Amino acid sequence: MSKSDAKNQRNTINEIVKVLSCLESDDFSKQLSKFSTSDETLNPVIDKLNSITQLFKAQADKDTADRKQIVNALHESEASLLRAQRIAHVGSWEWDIEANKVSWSDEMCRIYGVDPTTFDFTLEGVTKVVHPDDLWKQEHAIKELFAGRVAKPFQYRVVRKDGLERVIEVAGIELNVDKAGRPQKICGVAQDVTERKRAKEELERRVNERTAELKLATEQMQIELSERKRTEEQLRRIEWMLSDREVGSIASAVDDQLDVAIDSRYGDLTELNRERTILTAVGKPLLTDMVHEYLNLLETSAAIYEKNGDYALGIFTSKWCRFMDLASRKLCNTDDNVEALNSGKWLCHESCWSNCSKISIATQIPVDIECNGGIRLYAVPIFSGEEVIGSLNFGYSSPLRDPIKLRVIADLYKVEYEELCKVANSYDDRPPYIIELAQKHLITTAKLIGELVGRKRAEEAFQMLEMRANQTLDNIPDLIWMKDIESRMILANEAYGQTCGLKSQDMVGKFDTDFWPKELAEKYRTDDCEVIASGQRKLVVETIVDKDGQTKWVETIKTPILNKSGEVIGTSGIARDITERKRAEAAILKAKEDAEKALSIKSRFLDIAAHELRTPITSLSLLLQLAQRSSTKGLPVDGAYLARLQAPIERMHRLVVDLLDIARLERGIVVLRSELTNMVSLISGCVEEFQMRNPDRRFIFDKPSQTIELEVDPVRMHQVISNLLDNAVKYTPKEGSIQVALKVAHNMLRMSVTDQGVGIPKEQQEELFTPFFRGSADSAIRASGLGLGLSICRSLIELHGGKIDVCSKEAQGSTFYFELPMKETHS
Amino acid sequence: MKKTVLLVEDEESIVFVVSSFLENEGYTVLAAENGFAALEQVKKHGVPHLILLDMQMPIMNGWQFAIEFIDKFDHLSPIVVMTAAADAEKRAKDVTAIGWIGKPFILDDLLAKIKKYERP
Repeated sequence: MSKSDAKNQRNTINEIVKVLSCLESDDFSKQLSKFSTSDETLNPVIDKLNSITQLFKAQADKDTADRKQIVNALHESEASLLRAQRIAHVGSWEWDIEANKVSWSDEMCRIYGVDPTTFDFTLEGVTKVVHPDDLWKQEHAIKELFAGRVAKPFQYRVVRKDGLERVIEVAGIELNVDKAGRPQKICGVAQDVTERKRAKEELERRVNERTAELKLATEQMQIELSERKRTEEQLRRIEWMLSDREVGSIASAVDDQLDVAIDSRYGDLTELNRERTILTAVGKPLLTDMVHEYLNLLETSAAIYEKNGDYALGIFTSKWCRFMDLASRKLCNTDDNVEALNSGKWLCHESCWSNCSKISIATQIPVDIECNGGIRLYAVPIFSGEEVIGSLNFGYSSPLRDPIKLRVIADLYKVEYEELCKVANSYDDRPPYIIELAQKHLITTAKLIGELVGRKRAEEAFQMLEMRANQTLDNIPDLIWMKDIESRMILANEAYGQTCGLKSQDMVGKFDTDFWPKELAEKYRTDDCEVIASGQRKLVVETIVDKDGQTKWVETIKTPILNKSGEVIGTSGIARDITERKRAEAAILKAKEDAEKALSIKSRFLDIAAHELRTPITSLSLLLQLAQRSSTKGLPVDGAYLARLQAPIERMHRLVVDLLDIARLERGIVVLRSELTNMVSLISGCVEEFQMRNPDRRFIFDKPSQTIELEVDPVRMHQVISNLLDNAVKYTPKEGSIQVALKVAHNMLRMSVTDQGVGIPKEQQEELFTPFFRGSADSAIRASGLGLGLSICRSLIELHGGKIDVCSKEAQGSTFYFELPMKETHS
Repeated sequence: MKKTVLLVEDEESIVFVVSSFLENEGYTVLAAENGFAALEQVKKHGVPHLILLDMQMPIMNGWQFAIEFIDKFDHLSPIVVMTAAADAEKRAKDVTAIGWIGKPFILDDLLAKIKKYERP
């Protein structure tokens, strides 16, 4: 073959290869038909190729149809998958690791609530929608896959854009690797399991609820069951209690016991009780009632002991006990109960007291023993506060049935065995719950007795205290009381009662209006109300009138009485008699005023005395100076000067006489030299004297026709009349007249001097006769002298048993008068 | 011309001595036994060169006279109070007198006071 041939062949083959390469395309035939070759040797190949091509074509056509079918089926399958995914809320996903591209099915987008057009389909984009707390699950799965392990399905929460939180389960996670083993893709499915999860939780909750209900119902049933059991038990007890037993009905048993206690064949042991703490505090009837409470349950016997073992109560309901007690009493072989009790042979007493109660008192705890008679005894101590004051015991078991033991007891008590057996067998056994109940009653009764004794003691202590308080209150001389909120008396002491002339206890429950005059009672109620309203104590100084009508000054303190919550519930009061104090205060005040007045009078007197003495001294001094001047000049001393010395000396003399008089009168050392005196001639002598001395004045004296004689000191009487006349002259203007009168009426001599002066104000009239008074210092009318005249007159008239006074109206003159009692012989 | 002294005094012997003395000393003395009489004297003889005034007098005392006089004549005549009271100075002030002399007094002292206070 030539080189060109070979080249042609090669070309042809290349052509063929080219054609073959388009074998799969539709225009293969066209290519083939276009195909021609010059090399005829190749024709068979071409033919063969044509036939192959035909075959291929047929096959290809068939393949295309098949493929189409497959594609269609595939499409259909994919659509149904998507449909299924949609219905089941299952989405598929794929993550191209290298490109970091995530592909999600539509359902995926719906589940995650994302918009496929805007969603960031990368791992980071996906991560953003996952709940931050659950992100680790996704990371964990990826790590597992990369480590070559299987990633288990997991659930995480996603937070959708619309704010809904959904629970997503991711499953079927697979890692695709390339030929080199490099990870390429991770894919899997995801399902929204929110509803499923909720449904599951709801289911669990309901199951739990049901379980709890069931449990409760079971418990309820159990309670009901036990309740029923208890009721049955109670019913059985009641049945037992109601059942007819040996002694018959309970009522008759009680009567019987009392009989036994009091009329037993050896007498009532409680009469021997010397201690009597329990017996007195509670009393026999109540003790009996209390003991019956549990004896009725048991039909046995009981005893209550004082601390020293004396019987406060002893009751034998049990026929057995009665039988045994009497038998053992006989063993003592004496009629005297005290002797029997002390003999140690009274076996029942020894059991009850010495072996049981005495021990419970000593140990302060309950004692449970078997007695000499074979019965179980139970004793409890009785407490009053901390102190044990006695014991309470009872026998609670049935008598023995054991013949051997019964024989021993018969021997011990010296009774017939047969009889003992008969008594023993007449008992029903006591159910244990009855014994238990009776024991409870016993303990309660002991407590009750202790409480009653405690109260009684407290009551006595309180009464003692109250008595002492009352005694104390009654010993206080002040008035003490307590009133309730309506001012009703709650308490009054004896002093209060005495003031009102009542017994203090009779005042309780009454009101102030029952003991005091209306006005006082009203005032007291007002004061009470004030104290109640204010809650403050009140102090008043007031007067009261006692039962004898004596007014007394009292200082009263009223205080509110408060209860525990601080509310005012009444008032209490104390009133102290301060009459004496008041009197003393008044006396002091009066003394003070008097002293002040005396002081003022004294200082006024000093002023006046200074003036009155200086005036005549001035006259004397001046006259002497004048005489001295004449003599110095060698002139004869004028006799007239000397004559003028007389008046001031006379004035000084009068002052001295007055001062001496007042001093003597005040000291009470003036003695009257009384003699029967003709008053008319005495007075007219005085008037004439004054008329002579004051010739320009007019004196009028209406001389009485009859002679009036009186036992007086004529010198002193002359002094009084002169004084009155002197005053009248001083105070009457020159043109005025001075009227003198003398008359006798009602066995009294009355002498008066009336002037026509300015008169004396009312308020000064009272003081006229006090020493050193001389009208006001500012008085326009000068009253010379010391102002002692009228004071001396009063003293002298009073010495004569008479009185002196003045009648005066301002601007109308004054009348000074004195009255002397006439003796019968001279009337 | 003789100066006039008005002597208001109820005590007769004082009036007698003081008048005799002052007249001897060259004064004209007008005497009055109380304030009322003194006012009469002033009315009759005119305002004196000096007034010697006793305080305690009947009818009208020294205080009343001083009030009346000053009310009518202001302080035309100097007043010298003569008094036996302990509080002579106070009394002088009370009646706005120019001076005072306590009783009893020395006639020369009285003359000195008159010379000191008399109206020219």
